[in-house]
Amino acid sequence: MSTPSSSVFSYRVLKLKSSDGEIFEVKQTVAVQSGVLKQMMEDGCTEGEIPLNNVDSPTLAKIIEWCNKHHDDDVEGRVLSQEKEKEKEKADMKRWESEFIDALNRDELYFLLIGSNYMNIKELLDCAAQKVAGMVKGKTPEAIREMFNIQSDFTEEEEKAIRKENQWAFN
Amino acid sequence: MSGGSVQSFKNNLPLPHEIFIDILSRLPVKSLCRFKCVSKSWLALTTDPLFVKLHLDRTKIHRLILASRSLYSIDHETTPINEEVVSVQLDFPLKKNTSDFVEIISSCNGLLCIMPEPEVFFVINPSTREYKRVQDFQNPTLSSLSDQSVYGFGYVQSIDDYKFVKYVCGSTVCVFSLKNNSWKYIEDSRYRCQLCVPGTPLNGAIHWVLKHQDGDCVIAAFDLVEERFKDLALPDALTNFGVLSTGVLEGRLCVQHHQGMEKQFWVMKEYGVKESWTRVLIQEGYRILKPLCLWKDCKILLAINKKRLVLCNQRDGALKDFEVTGIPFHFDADVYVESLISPNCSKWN
Repeated sequence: MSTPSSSVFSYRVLKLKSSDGEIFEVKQTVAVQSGVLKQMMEDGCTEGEIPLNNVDSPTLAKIIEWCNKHHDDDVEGRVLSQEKEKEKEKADMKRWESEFIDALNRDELYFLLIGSNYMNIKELLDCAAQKVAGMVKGKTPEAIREMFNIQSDFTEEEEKAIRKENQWAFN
Repeated sequence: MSGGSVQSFKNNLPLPHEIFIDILSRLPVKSLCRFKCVSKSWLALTTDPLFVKLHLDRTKIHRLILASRSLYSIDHETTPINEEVVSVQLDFPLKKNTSDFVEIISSCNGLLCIMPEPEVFFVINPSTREYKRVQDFQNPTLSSLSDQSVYGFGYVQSIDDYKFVKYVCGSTVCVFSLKNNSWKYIEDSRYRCQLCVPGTPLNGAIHWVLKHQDGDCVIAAFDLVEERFKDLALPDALTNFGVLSTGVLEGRLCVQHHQGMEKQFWVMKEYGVKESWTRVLIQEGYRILKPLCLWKDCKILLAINKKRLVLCNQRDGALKDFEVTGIPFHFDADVYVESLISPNCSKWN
């Protein structure tokens, strides 16, 4: 048995297995963005294939694409002395993130929410949740019911009263 | 969190409750108020204390509020850069029958304390449009002494309560707890009134510049938990006391001073540490200065002389007008955050 500290350094690549059986190889330095994988690395239990039962292969591919983009190999070697350069890099990343999220259809977005939550990748979950919030915020209550498949449990009078009380929010 | 119901997202796929809550906590208050009629669990969520707190912590939407004979809200942050920033009139209690200027006492977690008529106080949430009237003073003598009184309103996290404070200088501190819905009177004759302006809530205390018996000005911080005053030192440079008032900028205590042509604006970088007072340069003259917030993380948004909104360049102190369409000629200004916090504490539990 290797000790946890030695195992962190001895396995440079993790083998992630999606729910549909596909294997993805990911560098440890990239995988560390996932809270779950980070914990496994620290506990020294990343040998062999790591099954991710809640994440299918298209979603896992997306998640890895995100993590690769957000991983900075040369973060220590590179000198970003210029404030402006940093600002530009931040703005470029923001643009990349919104393009990445906007390109997803609703099903893909759904699985990405589930997957990033399951793997505990906070930034990705934030970004996906923010995207859904943006899709939701301008909707009518009826559209919300349809989107989330909710049946109203108010009586007609109750609903009328609540609507009246919050009429201003409908304008 | 209320309910354990599983919301589906698409094709009846279940969305875990924690993700669902995460998404909703990112919505504007207006959307959440509109969605109250979706179902009983959505309605319950908007008053669920844990959700309300999560939403407050997440909220990044700050607005300006201006008060004259009416209240005006300004969405200065999310207005697209090429569009004009406009003010929107708000409803508030006593709006129809007031001819007085509405005074803003203070803003805290999305709640505003206002005085639409002399000695009549309301706590309102401009985002949800809820309000509560602060009970009238039970002591008529104290209520008549408004010319030598200062007011304040603040929140204390440790006891999760909002308190409205009226200090009748040289006499009594009157404290109204929103949670208990009752007054408490504490005798304290140490301070004299210097300038009748509202206090600044910060770190569980309300701050005013008041005068000691010997005439020296100090920042008197009234601790809302212990319900007693503590002195904070002013910058040493402010020795020739003119007119002084407190303010807050991004969680830091400020003090504004002017005397004739002399004017100074100071920020206390580390709360309670006298050595951390730092002077901020402002090029133009003013009589009344109110710091509001940082604009785009760099310039300071200020209200000057109750007439102008300006952006101050921190490097050289140059001022530039901050253009907003439809603002009153003369106003009180403050900043508030969008929140679901109800001024009616019966909804807290």
